[in-house]
Amino acid sequence: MAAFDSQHDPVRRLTRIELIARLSDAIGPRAVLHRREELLLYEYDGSALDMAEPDVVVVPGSTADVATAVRIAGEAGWPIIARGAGTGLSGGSVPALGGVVVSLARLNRIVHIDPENRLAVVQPGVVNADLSVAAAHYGLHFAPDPSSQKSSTIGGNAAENAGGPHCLKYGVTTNHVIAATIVLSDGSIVRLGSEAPDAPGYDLLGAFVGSEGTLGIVTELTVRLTPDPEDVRTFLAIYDDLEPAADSVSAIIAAGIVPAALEMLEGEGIRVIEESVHAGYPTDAEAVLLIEIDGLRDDLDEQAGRIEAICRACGARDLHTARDEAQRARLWAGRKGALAACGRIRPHYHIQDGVVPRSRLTEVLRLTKDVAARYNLVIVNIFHAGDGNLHPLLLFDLREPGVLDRAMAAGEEILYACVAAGGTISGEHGIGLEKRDYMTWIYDPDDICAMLELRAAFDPYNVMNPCKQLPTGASCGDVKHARGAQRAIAAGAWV
Amino acid sequence: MQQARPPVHSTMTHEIVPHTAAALAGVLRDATNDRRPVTPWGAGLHQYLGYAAAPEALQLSTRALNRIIEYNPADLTLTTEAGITLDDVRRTLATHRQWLPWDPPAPGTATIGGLLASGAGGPLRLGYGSPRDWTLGMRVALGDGRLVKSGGRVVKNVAGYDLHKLHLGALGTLGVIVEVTFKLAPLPDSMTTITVECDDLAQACRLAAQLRERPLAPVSLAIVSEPANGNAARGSVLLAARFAGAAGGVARQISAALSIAALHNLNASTHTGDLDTSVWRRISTIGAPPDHDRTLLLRVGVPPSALHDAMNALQRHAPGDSVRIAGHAGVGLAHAWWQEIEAHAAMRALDGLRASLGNLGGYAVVERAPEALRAQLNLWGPSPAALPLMQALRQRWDPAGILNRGRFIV
Repeated sequence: MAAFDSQHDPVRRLTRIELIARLSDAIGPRAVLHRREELLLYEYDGSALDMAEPDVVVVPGSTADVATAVRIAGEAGWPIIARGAGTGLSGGSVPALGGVVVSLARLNRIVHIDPENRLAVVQPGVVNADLSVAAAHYGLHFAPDPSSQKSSTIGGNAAENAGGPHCLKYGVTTNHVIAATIVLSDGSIVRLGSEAPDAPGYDLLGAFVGSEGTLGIVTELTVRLTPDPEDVRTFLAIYDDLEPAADSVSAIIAAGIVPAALEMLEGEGIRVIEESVHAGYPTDAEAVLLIEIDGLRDDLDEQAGRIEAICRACGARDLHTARDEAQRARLWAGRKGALAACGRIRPHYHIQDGVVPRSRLTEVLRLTKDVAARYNLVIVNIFHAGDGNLHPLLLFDLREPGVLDRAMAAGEEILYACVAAGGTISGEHGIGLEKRDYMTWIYDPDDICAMLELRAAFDPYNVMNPCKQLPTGASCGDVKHARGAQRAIAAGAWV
Repeated sequence: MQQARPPVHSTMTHEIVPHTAAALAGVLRDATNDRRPVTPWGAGLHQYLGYAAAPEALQLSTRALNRIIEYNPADLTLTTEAGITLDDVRRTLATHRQWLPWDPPAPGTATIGGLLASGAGGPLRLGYGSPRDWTLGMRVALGDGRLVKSGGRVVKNVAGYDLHKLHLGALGTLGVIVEVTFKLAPLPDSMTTITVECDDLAQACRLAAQLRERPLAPVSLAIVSEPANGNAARGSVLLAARFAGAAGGVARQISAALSIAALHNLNASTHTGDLDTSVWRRISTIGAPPDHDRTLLLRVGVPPSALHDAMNALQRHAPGDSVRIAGHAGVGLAHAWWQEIEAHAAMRALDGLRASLGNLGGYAVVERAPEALRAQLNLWGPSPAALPLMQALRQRWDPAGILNRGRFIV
């Protein structure tokens, strides 16, 4: 418990002007941004809920320059916030207390691809999808596939332990990172993990992935590449009601089938996605499941048959199979473009990210309907059903007075229901600023204290991404006041 | 929660057997206050790892923490106390045609907690990953007696740091694992192994690479090199490849694998059912020490493409000529037995091996040394670059340094 109270904000030993001068001297003025109009871009992330202005942004071009900038800022007691593409959905890259944002945009090189060991060495600013494109030549791909994958970076994916539809079968980011070079708050450079498996010592890399920039800044990653499957089948199961769709998901998992991906879309979301993306979803359906299986050709027919039988037994109206790669790509375009499409329903959104045991999906989905009615909101569920990872999308129009508070309260109620069902408060979007205060729903003070001790071991200066992930810090309560500056729904946000 | 019963004390070994996690944590709290060293104890199978325990150490047993807490077949998740044996878990899961795809040696006696703490793995690692990939959460009694949890009971969770990963292979030096939640997998319909007698290591490694080319995806792929003995003029090299999944896909992979062996003019045999299981049980024995005390058991890790070089190095640097090696292709791990050695030869050999492996980006750990050598050898090898971070963490969780004091690298 002690660490809760003893956390204090470090004293800033340089003025902002001095800090800018030091950074410019050390890594060059072109890599240091500090004019108001230059800083605007770095105030928010994909959640667009919490906003805060950084004091300075550095854009280093090498690990050494990251280390130098971090050392200068850390020694002077200024907060240090790593930033990839800024597509995060929990405020992870928002500079809650101001400070120095370290943009990794210039560290965007694929250093090499090693097909024999099935791995790639990349800089953190490499865009997720670009790595799979580069590896395609070898019949390999990077398995974590967050819906943001055309923009989000691998460094950001590692910081947030990003998921994605195909993580159902292939695992989330932590299962695919095998080594990393990181910069600690004192500017030292440390190597975690190894290409040689199980090297003796503690698995610090395992704790680092998903630490949301609070332990250090990653400047190079070694990631696993996965062989492309021999064959893929993609189906769309169509339902007139939400519950049989949810039942189908639970029944598929309970039957011991783990598809490559098992996604659900429902309600008004289906209609607007169809209007904007033309994915081939029937607009009169209440729910659809996007199901993908992959593997050896020989096994897919039988598995497809079993899945179809389960869906029909649960009450599916129909089941379509993608005929070719183009049709498959269209079905997926609908899923990946879902969030942007929902801007047609209401201009603003709040996305929740909760997880429930897969056997409890039906009841929690039913609850979202009830919450929508009680709070007078539109709620659309578009999510990773096979993992039990819900993404209720709460849609509203900020011009309506009081609607934001209502939406936040509704989101909180759904999230609480996930926890009550035996689940958790985030499956892939992270805790960031948004859910810090919910951590006590699932962890005791002793649990959180052990986490704070890990943080203190990495960051004794207490400057790395303050106010994030764990409830701590006296001045962090102020951050919530910055809320209310919501932006119109971004066409480039993904869930 | 069970009512705390007084722990059982055994005068012979300073053994304590708490019946609840809270009682176990209480023992650690007291030991920290007394600065009394503690040896966390599952089945005791891996106590050969690391340097010898302090003679005054308490033996803190998890064997009374052996209940399955929650098994949800429909969610493919299991939460269990850590003192249960792997076989007991397997039997429960098998009733629903599920499993934990993890095949370390001695599953009948080894406990889940002991296996995780000692970093024990098996040949299925190639196809299914390591326990790290299947562990969703844990409750752990830290060295100072705090009972903390991390992770959760659902298959996806990014709330907080994955503290549980820190205890895997940590030899209980940060805390004692008392409860674990695993993600599970459906049992594959079919598992079949082919074994191929190869002419030499180089040929076996070439063949192994071919057996991983698409669409082949073996779940285990081991190369076993045995020394010459009285009956055989020269040593033997055996390649074993195991395929798992739906029957059709397994059959096609087996037939493709047999064709590849035939192209090399090598004899291959196919093993199914109990025979399939026994091939891998036999290979696993090289990952555990023999029952006599004259052998050095080594674990070597390298990037997978360097396995051939690593196995060569294990033979080349061996102080005697009697070497058994099981290498896991595609994973980059190998276990080896070095036989009949004396201290100076062992030290020289180990230095030479580590120099060779260092060039390959690998390492060697002495998992077991003959008792007479244990204190003299550098068992864990050079310190990792992140050792100061590891020490800083241990200082916070085990402030009196009571857990397996002096035995591990940290």
